Amino acid sequence: MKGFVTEIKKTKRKWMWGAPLGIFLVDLAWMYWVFSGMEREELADGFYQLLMNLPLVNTITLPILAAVLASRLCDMENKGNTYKLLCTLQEKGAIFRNKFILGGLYILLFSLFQLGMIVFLVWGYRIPQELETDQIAYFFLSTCATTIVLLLLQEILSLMMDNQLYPLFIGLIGTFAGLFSWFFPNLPLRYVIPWGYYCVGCTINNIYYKETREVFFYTIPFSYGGFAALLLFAAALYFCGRNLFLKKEV
Amino acid sequence: MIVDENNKWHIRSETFFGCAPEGRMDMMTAIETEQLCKSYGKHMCVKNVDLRVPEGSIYGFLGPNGAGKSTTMKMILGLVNADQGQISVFGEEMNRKNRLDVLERTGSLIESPSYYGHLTGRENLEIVRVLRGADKREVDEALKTVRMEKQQNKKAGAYSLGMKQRLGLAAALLGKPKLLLLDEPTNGLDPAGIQEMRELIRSLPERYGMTVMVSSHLLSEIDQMATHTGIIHKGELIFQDSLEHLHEHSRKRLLLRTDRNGAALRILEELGCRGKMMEDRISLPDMEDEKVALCIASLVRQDIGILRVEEYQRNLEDIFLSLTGKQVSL
Repeated sequence: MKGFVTEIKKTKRKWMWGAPLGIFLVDLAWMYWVFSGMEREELADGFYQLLMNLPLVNTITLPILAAVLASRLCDMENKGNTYKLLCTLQEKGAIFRNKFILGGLYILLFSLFQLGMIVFLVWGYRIPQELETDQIAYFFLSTCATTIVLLLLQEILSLMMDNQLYPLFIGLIGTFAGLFSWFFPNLPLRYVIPWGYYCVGCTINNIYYKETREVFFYTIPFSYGGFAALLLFAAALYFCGRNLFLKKEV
Repeated sequence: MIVDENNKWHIRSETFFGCAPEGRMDMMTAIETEQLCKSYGKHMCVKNVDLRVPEGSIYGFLGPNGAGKSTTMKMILGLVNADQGQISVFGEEMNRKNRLDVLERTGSLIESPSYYGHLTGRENLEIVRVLRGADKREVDEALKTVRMEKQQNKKAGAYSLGMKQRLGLAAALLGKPKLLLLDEPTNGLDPAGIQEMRELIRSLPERYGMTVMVSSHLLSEIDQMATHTGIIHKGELIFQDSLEHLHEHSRKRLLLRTDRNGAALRILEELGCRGKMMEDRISLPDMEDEKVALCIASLVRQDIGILRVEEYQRNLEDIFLSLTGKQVSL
């Protein structure tokens, strides 16, 4: 516990909440832009539109958030040569774990705020569609799990590399790959791009009827198997990353 | 101690204890390593190092840059895994499981100081204090010891290198460790800072009953601080004993050159002056002027031509150079 307490103390004056807040405001502004131009009848499916638009926005913004959080958590150790001090005071694995938990808490809080944003937008735009708790839960699980996997990936990169520009750059490339995967929903390749899992986990889809110029939104079943596979992947990644860090000599 | 064909001194493990003068026999060791080895690729940077750091001593770990000092110290702290060998701290053999328990009594400052630049000096120490589980008052004590009370609320990133080193030392002192490992603590300090750090280190065993292992590539520094010394060169520990013992080798000697050294050596032995050959000269222990006159007169009476009589004193630098066999930073 004292390791986690010091991890929090270390982030003093680091403005760790700056990135989640900034990205939350970007998301809010994006959604405002999407919904402001809608007609009354278009808002009839507003809730589903929200649940489809937000994962797309998240594909662009959350990998960046994960990269920034991981980088800020790890860079202070690199800059101050503190690993050789910390490793004489606590288990090396605990350093890895505490950074992951703290970063994970920010992601969790961000995801909860995003849920709040959905409720707020549904209320603010007087969307007639009923809030479906199961769909909200799927959105939350998918967003949270995917971002936590990305955070883990970024943390491993940030801990292994002294220059934090490389992990940030890799995160950016991943963002583009994830965004790209949205355009190929039937391509199995998208399953190997974790940055695109926001799309894989999205439980809302639509059909566009050219003739009537209508969009029909519908739900698709949440893949529990896929979610379990993601959790397994996260666990494997955690142990691999932790072992890599344990092997790294300081 | 063994002198090899290259005139290098090698220490056997019993040097400190088995062959040591009386009084040193009872000394406990704070650090003991056995056949410690570490290599990176094909380069073996630490070779079979047998360290014996006596409790309560200031052990100067001396060696040129790249000799393996930092790697050895990192191995003692478990920051680098040894390829081979054992490490005991205060008699307890260290392994992966008990590493942190053993290190609870150890403070360290390895290479450059560790600090969080965005936090103040005090906040930095607070982090170490929490991790060490030390009392809150110890932060004030440590700040006072390193004379940093006035700068404690400044961000560590704005500190000079000397201040960062002092902050590192203060962090190492938290938890009142019984053993302190300091790797080149005066690196990058100005002369006043070096002097201050040296005084501080020298005072630690007496003030807190600590054992201090301090590495340096500067012989003069170790000479002014340490009570014991180990000299490492190319990964090998080539000398280890008390500094006093090292100084014994710098005692004054008389060098005598005659036209018949063999005969002269025999005559001198009959007179009670045991000498030994050193290249083309006879080396004699230092003696009173009257005795020197008596020896010379005896040799002359036996028809031995005296070519030269000189006084010779090896300084520590000469000893260090003869041990390491090369010019190094002194």
